[in-house]
Amino acid sequence: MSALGELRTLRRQGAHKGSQALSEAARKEERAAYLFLVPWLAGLVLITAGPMVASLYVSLTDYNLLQPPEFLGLANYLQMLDDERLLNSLGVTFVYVFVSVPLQLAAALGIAVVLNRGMRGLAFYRSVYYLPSLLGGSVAVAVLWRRLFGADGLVNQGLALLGVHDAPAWVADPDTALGTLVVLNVWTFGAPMVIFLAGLRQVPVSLYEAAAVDGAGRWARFARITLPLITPIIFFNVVLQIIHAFQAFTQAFIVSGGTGGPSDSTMFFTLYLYQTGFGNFQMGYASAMAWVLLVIVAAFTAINFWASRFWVFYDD
Amino acid sequence: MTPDLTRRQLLGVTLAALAASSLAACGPKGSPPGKPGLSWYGGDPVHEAMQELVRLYGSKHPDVDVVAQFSAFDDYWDRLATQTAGRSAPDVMRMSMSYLADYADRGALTDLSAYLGKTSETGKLISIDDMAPDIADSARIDGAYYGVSQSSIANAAFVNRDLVAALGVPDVDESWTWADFGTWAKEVGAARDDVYGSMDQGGSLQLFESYVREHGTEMFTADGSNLAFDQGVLEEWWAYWDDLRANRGAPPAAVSAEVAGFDTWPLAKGTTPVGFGWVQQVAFVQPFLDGPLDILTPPTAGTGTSGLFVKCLDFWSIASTSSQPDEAARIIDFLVNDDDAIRTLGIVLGVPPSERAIGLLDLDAGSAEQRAVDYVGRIADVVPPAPPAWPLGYNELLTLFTKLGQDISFGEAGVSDAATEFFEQAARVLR
Repeated sequence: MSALGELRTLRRQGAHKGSQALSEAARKEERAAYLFLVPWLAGLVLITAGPMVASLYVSLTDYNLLQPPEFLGLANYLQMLDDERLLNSLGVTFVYVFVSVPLQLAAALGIAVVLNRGMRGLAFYRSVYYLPSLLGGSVAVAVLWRRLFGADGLVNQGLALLGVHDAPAWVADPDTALGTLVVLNVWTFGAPMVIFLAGLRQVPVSLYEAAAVDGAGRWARFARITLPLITPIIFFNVVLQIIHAFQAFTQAFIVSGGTGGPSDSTMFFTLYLYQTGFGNFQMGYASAMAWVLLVIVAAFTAINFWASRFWVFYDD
Repeated sequence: MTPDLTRRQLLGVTLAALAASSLAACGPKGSPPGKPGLSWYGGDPVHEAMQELVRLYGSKHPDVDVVAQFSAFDDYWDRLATQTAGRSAPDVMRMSMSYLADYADRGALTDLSAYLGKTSETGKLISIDDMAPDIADSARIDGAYYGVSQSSIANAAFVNRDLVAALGVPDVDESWTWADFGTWAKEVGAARDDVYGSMDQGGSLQLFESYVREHGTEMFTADGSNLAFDQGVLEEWWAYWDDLRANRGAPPAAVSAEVAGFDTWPLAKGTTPVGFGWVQQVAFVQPFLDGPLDILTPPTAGTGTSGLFVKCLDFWSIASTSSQPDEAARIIDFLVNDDDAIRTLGIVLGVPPSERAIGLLDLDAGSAEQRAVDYVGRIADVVPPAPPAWPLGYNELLTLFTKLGQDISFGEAGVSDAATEFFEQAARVLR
């Protein structure tokens, strides 16, 4: 993107300078820039935009992957309204997003504030807390999760030591399976935490000193100084983590063995999309679902940006 | 040097590059000559045996370099669907009955009629004269043959007799009806508080197919366009297992929902004395138990009609886009008929599909493998003819059946609502 910005600057410079020779040189440079951009443009067209346009078309067809698509119009989109499993998967996804994102950000901010107090070995603790967000989306950790929260898993063994003997098989019970995935997502708070840490470092120390002189307590300083000043960072993390959570797939896929079970309790929208496309050969319907997901994510992002004017404070 | 490109030239180059890449995607893409592709799904024992077979084929045909691709069952189908959509499916592929109609009805598989025949016939590259008709015909859809059978399998009940004896409950034999079995299973559950009667089969569409056949119809209509049985039969089945769960005849829902690999089967853990499955699975559960698992025919309705069948559920198929179908056919003939190949495979793909192949195996008497082979041989001649190939959309129904079974067991849906849902969805999926 910055390359395009430079291009624009180049062009403006060319326009300013009236001399024919200079403008010719600028134009040559512009062409050279385009030439260098070709790989990126080709990537955009072939790998991102092209497939997106193709999937928009496929979403209007009956396409089983093996035979040419047949045009249907909006039938796939209308069918979703009657698809109870799909509506259920939307519900599961919403619960996941709106429970796990606030918890995850609260954990990230809390730990970041603690780490920001300048303790010894900060780099070590930062790495330790960041580690789960590198691992959390991985297959290995999802497999581990399944073991931890199984009927004979470590969690229940721990509970048994505390005298709780009738704990459920967390991942195998529809009432608790989604909860284990929420916990898994909250656990991966490292990425927003690192961003919060960077934001906390930007808050001028002089403000805290002035407030302390005025007699503000620790909580007042956090609520009146820290929070308002890092609202742009909070906003950034909220937008990013919501998008991220809507797209969650691996955790549910592995923990439920690809089924979204038990009883569809971990059937994320993305997982149902995947089953529909690759398991049931309904790639047209699956593509339509992908576009619905895109619209949902875009809508939530737009709402976030709109709402941000009421609570996000920019210092500059 | 300053590149001197006009905007138009640049556009031209870009469009040409795009056109070239999209053309490449559309052209015939089959494997290069002499390098046919061969793909299969399975666990490690399958991968080891099959890789040995690829080496064996290479040593017998030095001019052919078979390119092997393999993965676990679930991953296999994502990959195969994508490859097929891109016209680059492997020449020879392992095909499951759950997906056969999905691929065959959509033109992705070659009709093998022209290749199948007796060894003596000239021009017939794949010999099937050793196979029983039910087995040879397993992949037949509308008169065309879309796969060569790898194995013969049947539903079976596995019984841990040591556990039965230890619990002090009466012994069981093949005269059992579903009613007897239910009473007995509850008795087992009452005998000890860490044991239940039987593994929960409420969500098993495959065992349910046998149950349906005892009630006088097939599961699907002959043209595969609808369910052929009465909704009451399904309600009976689900109510039966619901009753067992409620009375310790089967484990609680959450225990069954945790079942994944064979090591997690309640039968393997000694939590139930009885489990059900395809007969060759006995060999995968046996290693977890000390005493031998006995193989019985599953309970019946007691009407004298058996719902069992012997059939093949895994095939070797040839992609319709194969650039070298003759070579592909020779590979299949090697896989199912070559003596060394048969010996190398053993029963990792299931009980071999012919008497001759079984005779070539050198199994330990009394091993789980030998018992599986004996079971198939014992029932093959007494069970009714096998149903036709599973119809298009079977895989989707299989998943749905398990999910609805779970809804009932977790109390999320009533039996009759779930049955109605299954019939409604089947009407949509089957065509």
